[in-house]
This record gives sequence, structure tokens and C-alpha cells, in this order.
Amino acid sequence: MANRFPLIVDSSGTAAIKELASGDNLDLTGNGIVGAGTVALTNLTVGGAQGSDGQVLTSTGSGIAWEDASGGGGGGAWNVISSQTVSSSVAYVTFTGLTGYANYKIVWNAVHHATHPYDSWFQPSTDGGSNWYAASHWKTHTTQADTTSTALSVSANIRANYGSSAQGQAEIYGNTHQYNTDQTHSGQLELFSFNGSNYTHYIAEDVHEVFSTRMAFGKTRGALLSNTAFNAIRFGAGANFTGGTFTLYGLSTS
Amino acid sequence: MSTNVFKLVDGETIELTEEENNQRIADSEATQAEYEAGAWLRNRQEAYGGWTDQLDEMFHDFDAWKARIQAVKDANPKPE
Repeated sequence: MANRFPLIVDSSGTAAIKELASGDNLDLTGNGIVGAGTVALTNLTVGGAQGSDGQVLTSTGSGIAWEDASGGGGGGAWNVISSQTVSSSVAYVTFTGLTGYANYKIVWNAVHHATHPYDSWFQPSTDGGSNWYAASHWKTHTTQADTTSTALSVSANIRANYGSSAQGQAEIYGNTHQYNTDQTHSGQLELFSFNGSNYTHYIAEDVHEVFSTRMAFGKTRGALLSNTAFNAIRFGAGANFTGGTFTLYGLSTS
Repeated sequence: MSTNVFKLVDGETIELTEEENNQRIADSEATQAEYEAGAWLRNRQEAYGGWTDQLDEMFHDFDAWKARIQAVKDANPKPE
């Protein structure tokens, strides 16, 4: 079946029935289209609005509209904000522009380091990453074990951040095992009220391959009091990142 | 002056400034120093073993448990 232009009455000159000229619009004010099969579009506006990058088309209850994913789409799901893959040696992996959500999650997979790192950490920023939080207000608690241990150990009781007391870095894992060059680790970090209130809480989990038959794993919880909202985060470790993927999610509130 | 140390920011690889790199080195050295300063305690905790195992040791031979713990302490002295 061939594509054809609809016929219209051309009243501009001698009344005649002609094909709708390319570039003209079919005015259906007050009318609708029913029973359409497949509709192939090159663009879509709603009420004259185009929407902006990242918005989703969602129901308003009485029609449809473009809305932010955090407000209208996703229905309480974790929405992917961005993802970064490490393809060369870097000291930090940074996400900026963390706005629009109160709760975030960062998931890392198959992360590899240049050498065996003695720690893994994250650090927030209130100015988009120009400066990094440098107070010692993080309080963390870590439990960790490996598959050769008979009991779960508590490596750190309530204490300030793992590193220098002025660094402002929050611990994810105290001794990220990578004894063999082909070993990696994976995990996730959940941030609660990251830019939503005075208190930011976090839970981090990480699992490492140590040797082919041995794994290590740990879970860290922590909290930080900050009167200024955060909007960026970076990850670091005792050795450069040389591989792996980091994906940032925001939790929709509806 | 090139630092030849990089960061990945929103998908873009950017070289650290000299100031950023100096801060990175200072942070890393401070963290490593703290980590190494706690080695004696981590080694003790690992060698002590879990509480349930130690209670079982005490039940069977209290003096032997005490001697083993003392040996762990002696092998991993607390820094002055």
C-alpha cells in the first residue's frame, strides 16, 4: 500500500480538491483521529510543548504531558541518570549535577585497580565538584569477612572517616583486596537524603575477588551532618582505577 | 606542568591540576599512614578469631587460650 497525501479543498484560488501540500499542516481543531494503526512520527509536542532532554511522556490523569522522570515517570523506580566506563587509568570517578532527587544509588561493576588498594572511599561536594567536602563529620561502621574466615569481623567501630581526620572521605571498604592483577570488585552505594536534608546517610556494599577460590565482602553504614545540600560525588581508592563501570541512579518519589 | 594523573568526570577524562594532584598525594599518604598505623590491631583481631571459637577454646582449656592470646599480643605489639 503506497503512502499518499490526503485530499483537501483548496479555496485560495479556484476551488479545487488537491493533495495537501508538503510542509502544510492538517488542521483538526475540535476533531480527533480514531482507529489509527501504526503512527510513525519524527517529533511530538503536547499542548505546543516540546519537553526537555530527559523528560518523559506521562499521564496527567486527564491527558498527557512532558514531565521530569523524578516527578512523573518511573513510578518510584530507580532511574538511570548516567553511566561511566573506566577505559584508562584515572585517580577519581566523578558525577556532577546530582539534583532533582533526594536518594541516589551508584552501582559499580568489575572495577579494577592499577595495584592492590588499601581502601575505597567516596566524597561529596556542595559546589558541583569544584571543592570537596573536607570536614571529619562522617561516622562509619564496617563489617567485613572473606570466605576463608570462620566469623564475620567488625573492622571498625563508630569512628571518623577512614583516612586523615580532615579529608572528609567516607569509607566504602578498608582494604580492597586485589592480590592478583586480574581480580576485580563490584558493589553499590545508596545515599539517603543526599541533597534533601541536614543528614545524609549511606550504606555501601562491596564484594571482591581475592583469589580464584576466595572472596571478600563487606558492608559499611555511615552518616554525615551537613547544612548545605550536596550536588556532586567522587570515588577514589588507594590505587588508580583502570577498569569497570559506574552507573548513577536517582530514586523517583512517585 | 603536566601531572599525568587523570580523573573521569561525567564521562570526560581530565588531567588533574598540580594543586589537585598535590592534594591527592597528601590525602593518599595520610590514609596510608593511618592504615599502616592500625596494622597491629588488625593483625591481632584476625589472629584472635571469632568470639564463639574463643569461648569454645576457653571452655576446653582456659590456660591454653590465654597463652595463645598472649602470643598474638607479643607478635603484634601495640606501638608506644
